[in-house]
Amino acid sequence: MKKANHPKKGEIAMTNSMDSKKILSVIGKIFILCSIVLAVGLSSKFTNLLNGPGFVFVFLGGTALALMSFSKKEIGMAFKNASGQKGTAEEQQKSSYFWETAARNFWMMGVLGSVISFVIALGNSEGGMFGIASRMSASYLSAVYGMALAVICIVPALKITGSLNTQLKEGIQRVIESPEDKAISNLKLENIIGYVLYIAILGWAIFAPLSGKAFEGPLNPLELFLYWPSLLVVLGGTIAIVLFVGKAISGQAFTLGFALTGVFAIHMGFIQAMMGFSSKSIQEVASAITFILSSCFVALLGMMLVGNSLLDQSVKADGVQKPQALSRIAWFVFPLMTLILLFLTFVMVVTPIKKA
Amino acid sequence: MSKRNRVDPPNRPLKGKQKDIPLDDLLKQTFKDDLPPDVEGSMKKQLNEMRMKMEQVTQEKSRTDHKGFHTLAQFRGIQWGQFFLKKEVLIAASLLMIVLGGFLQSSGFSNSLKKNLSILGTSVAVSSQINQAQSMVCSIQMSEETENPLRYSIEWLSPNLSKIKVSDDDHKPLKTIWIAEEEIVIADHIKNTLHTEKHPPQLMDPLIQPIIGYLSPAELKEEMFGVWQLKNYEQRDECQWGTFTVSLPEENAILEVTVDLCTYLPINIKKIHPTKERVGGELIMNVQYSWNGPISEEILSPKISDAHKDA
Repeated sequence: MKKANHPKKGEIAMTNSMDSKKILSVIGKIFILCSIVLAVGLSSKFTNLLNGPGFVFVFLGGTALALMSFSKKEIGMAFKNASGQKGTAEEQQKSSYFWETAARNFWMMGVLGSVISFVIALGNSEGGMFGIASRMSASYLSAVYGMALAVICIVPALKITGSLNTQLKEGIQRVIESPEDKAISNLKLENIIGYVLYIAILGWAIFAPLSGKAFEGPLNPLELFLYWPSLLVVLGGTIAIVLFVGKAISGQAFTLGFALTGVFAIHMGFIQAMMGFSSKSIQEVASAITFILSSCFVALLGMMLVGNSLLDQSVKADGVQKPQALSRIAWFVFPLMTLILLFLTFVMVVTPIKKA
Repeated sequence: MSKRNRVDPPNRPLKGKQKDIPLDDLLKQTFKDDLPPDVEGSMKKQLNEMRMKMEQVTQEKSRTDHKGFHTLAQFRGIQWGQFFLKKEVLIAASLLMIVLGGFLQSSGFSNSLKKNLSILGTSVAVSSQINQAQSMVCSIQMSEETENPLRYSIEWLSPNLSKIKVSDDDHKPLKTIWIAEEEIVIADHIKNTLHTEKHPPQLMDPLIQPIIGYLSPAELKEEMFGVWQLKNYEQRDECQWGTFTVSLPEENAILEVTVDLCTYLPINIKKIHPTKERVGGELIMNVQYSWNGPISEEILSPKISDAHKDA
């Protein structure tokens, strides 16, 4: 039997010193990147690209989603692994998954922020039609922030996956978790904090901008965001898909269910919009756009609050390295589709309907 | 085959020739059915008693559980919960939700977002149609309760030519103003003079001030885009017209713009000052539009060239 190689005191000190240097190096890189971004943003040409509340929404929302799915220990380990410190194969798997989900969360939060800003722009008449149009254009900034943060997060995910693959090639086997670890863990304090923070940031984003600036007196923001037809279609469709697919607890069925019914509802809305344009009915087009926007909002929210959270827990609990490809497609393609739809919606809103 | 993999009898080890006896024979030998009848009867009786006691205990437990269940689930809440969590019920409910959602959408369900989109869509359509107008005749009547209860008649033929007639409440002409390119020509009916001025950035004549923004389609469109704050929209399909309300925060007034939904052109604008004394507010100004119609031949009468001569 081989003797265990215990590191000596000097070696431990050296390793710690190297870790600190790596962490400092990562912090330094982030600082330089932030300085460049800030400088570009503050230069007169790009002032229009700055939207403080939008960035805060995306950043805090993404952080809250990470807290909802991961424990403090796992997050700490993910940061350590990202700074170059090597852990066990299992730790690296989890860290890689953490960074991938962080990218997903920021991307989805960015698009959700854009949808919320877009709807709020339609609910605030300050500055007349010009004001509404400029706020609608500015609503896309949240998606830009989400995309930028997602790109930052995907880098450590790729780096850790690369390192893990090298280790596996070298013959280091994955560590199988103990049965205790496999069971889906109960909610931890940080998970609860994540849920509370997420709901708080969502409430702030929806309620704060609409107080007293609405079309007709103070408007009930919930009435602006909750459109019963789309809510019923998206929720009903999701429940049906979950029941047919089964394994609701795994979260994958919910993620796919929300994404697929969202796509279905969007297509329904588009058909109605096209019919509205052909019959030159503004009411019909307005109804269709409302249906599309509300469906995107409900589907994205459902994916984030229910689907992704359950999926993350089950992926960690089952020891499965990665979720299925369909879930990944839903994570990244559905928000992209929503963003494209927002552009099309903007075009539909500003396109005049002419009668003979 | 190793010794560990052999099937050993449960009670005693096999010896000698017995090793070759098949398992069934061994079991028959071990559990022989040769008990005396009285012993067998007694055993049967005891077994029956034991079974009855076990059934009693099971029934008692079931009764207690049922009672406790009912106590816990007052109003049969849990039973209802179990019913609703059945797969068939959930599938039916989900299908019902989809159908109901589709029905609500097709039946014109309305919420704030839809209303806002309707008013925005109407405003965009109106401004687009105004932009393409060939001619415009507009009469503006100020309320009798205002400081200057005047009447205005605006005739607009092209971006470079408008004629504004100002008269008092009894239709007696006060001034006629032509706006042509960078000059304005003013005919003062009271002083009986005619003079030409360079077009100032804004028309500074106090008589014109109340109707700034209504002088031409371009100005009307500019007001719509930058000043009017959209508030509400009401459409009456049977009448083929719709009214949208906008607010003018700087003037503390509300505009009610009635639109012809066949042409998407404004036909009437009412400027209202909201007051507590009168329900619906006080009407300050009433504007009537007529679009793309024939312009009166008198628009250039007296001729601007003559005006230049006189001036």
